Formats: sequence, C-alpha cells, structure tokens
Amino acid sequence: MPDDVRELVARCLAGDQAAVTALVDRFQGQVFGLCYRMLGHRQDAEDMAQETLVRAIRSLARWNPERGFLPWLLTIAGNRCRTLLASRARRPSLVAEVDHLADRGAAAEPAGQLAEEVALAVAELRLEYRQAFLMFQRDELSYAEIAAALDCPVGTVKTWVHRARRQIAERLRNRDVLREVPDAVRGL
Amino acid sequence: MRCADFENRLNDLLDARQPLESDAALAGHARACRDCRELWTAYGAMLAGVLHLARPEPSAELSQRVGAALRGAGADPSPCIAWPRRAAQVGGALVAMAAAVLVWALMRPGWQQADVPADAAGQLAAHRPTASPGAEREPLDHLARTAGDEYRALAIETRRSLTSALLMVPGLALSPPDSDGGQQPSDQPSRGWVDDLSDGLAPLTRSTAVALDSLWGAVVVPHEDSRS
Repeated sequence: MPDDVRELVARCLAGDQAAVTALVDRFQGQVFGLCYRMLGHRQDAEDMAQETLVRAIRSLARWNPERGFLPWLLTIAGNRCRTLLASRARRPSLVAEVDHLADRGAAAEPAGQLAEEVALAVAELRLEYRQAFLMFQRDELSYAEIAAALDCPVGTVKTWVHRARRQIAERLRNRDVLREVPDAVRGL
Repeated sequence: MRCADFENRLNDLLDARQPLESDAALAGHARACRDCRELWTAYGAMLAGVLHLARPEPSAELSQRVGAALRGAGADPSPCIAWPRRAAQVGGALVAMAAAVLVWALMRPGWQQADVPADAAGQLAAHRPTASPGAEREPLDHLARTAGDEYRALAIETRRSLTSALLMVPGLALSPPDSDGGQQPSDQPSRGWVDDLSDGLAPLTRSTAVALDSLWGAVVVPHEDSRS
C-alpha cells in the first residue's frame, strides 16, 4: 500500500478535514465504478458509493493497514451493493450498461467503431463475466481486489475474465470486424 | 509452441498486463499459424476497443454529499436503504396501534350496552355462540340489515372487502360491474352485479360469520363471564 494513503488515513483519524476530502476524492471514482458495475444504475451507484465512503471513513480506526486500503473499501462497497440487490430483487439492467459502454463521440472513427463492437460484445456477456472483465481490463483492479469486491475466490474471477475474453474474441471474429482492425492493433 | 497452449499463454500475458508483442515466442507462433493469428488479432482488437470504452464517472456532487453526510450529526449515511426500513417501522407501529385499539374496543366494559342500539343488542345476542350446537343462527346478511349502525357498517364493509378481493381471483365466475353493458331485460327484476356477487359469496359469508362467532366466543364471552 502506498505510504501516502497510510498517511492520509492517519491524518483523517487525527480529525483533519482536508485529509478526509482528499481521501474521498482519491477513491470515489473506483468505488463508484464498482457500484455502477454491480448495480447498472447511476443513481443507485451514487447512493451506494456515498454510503460506502461514509461508512469507511467512520470506521477508519478498524482498518488493518496490513490489508490494502482499496480492497478494504471495495469489499465494503461490494457488500452494500449486494444488500441493495437482495432488497430490490432484480439484477442490473443491461440497457443501462450498454448505454454507457461506448464512447459515442468517437464512433465515426475506426477505433470508435471497434469500441462499439467491443461494447456490444461486452454487453452480451453474462453479468459475472461482464463485471469481472470490465473491472480487470478497464478499471484496472487486480484479481484479488475484484475477488474481495464480488465475494468469490480469485480463481473464479480469473476464469470469468478468461471466458469473457474468449467470448468477446469469438464475437469479433464472427462479426468480421477483424479485417478492419488497424495494423497497429495487429502488432505482427 | 502448440496451438493448445497459445490461448493460455495469451491470457497469462494479459493477466500480467503485458503487451502482446512482449512475448516473442507467442508472436512467432501467431505469424506461422493462421488460427492463432486470428485469435491474436481478436485479443488485440479487444484490448484496443476496451481503451475507448467510456469509464463511468461519479457526479461532481458525490464528494460534497459524502462531506455533508459526515458532518451531519447522527445523519444516516444510507438514504435509499434507510427509507424503506423506516417506513416498515412506522407501518409496523401503526398496525400494532390499530390492533391495540381493536382489542381495547372489544374488551371495553359496557361496550355492548354503550355502543350498540337497544334493538341491535338483541340481534347480536342471538348471533353469539350458544350452548346448544344445533341452534339456528341468523345469517350475517340478515344481521347487517337489522342490526345497529356500527355493526351494519362493519358487516357491509366486510362483504365489500371480500367482494373486491374475489374480483381479483382469476377464473372465478363472477360478473364484473357493468359486464352486461348495463342492459337488463325489461321483464325481469333488476338484479345488479352486487346481488350476483352476494349470491356467489354466500358460502364465504357463512364462514366469515363462523369466524366472527369464534372470535366473539374466545375474546368477549370469557371477559363478560369473568365480570359477572
């Protein structure tokens, strides 16, 4: 864990409000990203991200510095999201996810078209595969962090990500997208 | 390298967040094998596409909301979860209060004499469980027509609630309001849908009367006996 996070936490525990703000600013994006992946709904994700950050800051004294700060935070967020999902008894909406996947402004360019094809392929994945894939490939969380957040073994997360890659690759092949892939992407 | 190992090695590379070209053996096999080259290209396209996907960002207000929640003394940090929980607590308290009022009304000394008009008291007494099991009782419908205002209102309301509930039961052969378009043959007595429902509900009405009798016998009669 970076020392600056440890120092920030120490300052928060000492009552430094600026440190609290800095801690929130630093981690809110990752917490929100996870909540959004799990809930598929922006407003719910904001509410859960808020609740996670408030709970974490109120419980900072219980955080074990031996454990990374981000995994601890994501575990809280994952638990809150699972509780909400259980209470509302419905799964994240696919439509909401697809709407936010592709950067539509870039769709006219070849890279934008490729992103759109990838977005569609990602949207067709099973929920678990999609969450794990996006958390690893785009949000750049480690397998351990994803496993903590989704409350499942690291091996399971790896399997989900590998299957997601295979399914996306197969879809791209079947859609004949690969012929238009720029040479720079081919890398051979 | 065998083709069977190619994909595993490709995944190992991506798991380590290394660029595909960093593994010379993998790149060499991809050049030589058409199928593996396609897989390589597909993985490369996938990685390039992922980079262009929009990342969900929180609104600018999120950090302010967190700050406000932290500053608020005793503020509940979970507005969207706290509301249903609070509503359930309030609802539970209201139900408990309603139940308490009902029990109090039934147990209240002099309830029968004070609230039920004299002419209805006799009807109520006749409807109470008697020592002889075969004794005739008046039907609840009849009681509703002849008892005092409060008991009548209760009986009518009970029947109306049952009617509304039964209208929602699929397959029950009861005509909804105005299902005949409001047209009645002129040579037949006018029978509204409420009457049809009332006929259909006759068995249920009887069982409701039995249930009320049982409640009466279990709660009110012992109380009155102990007082006397």
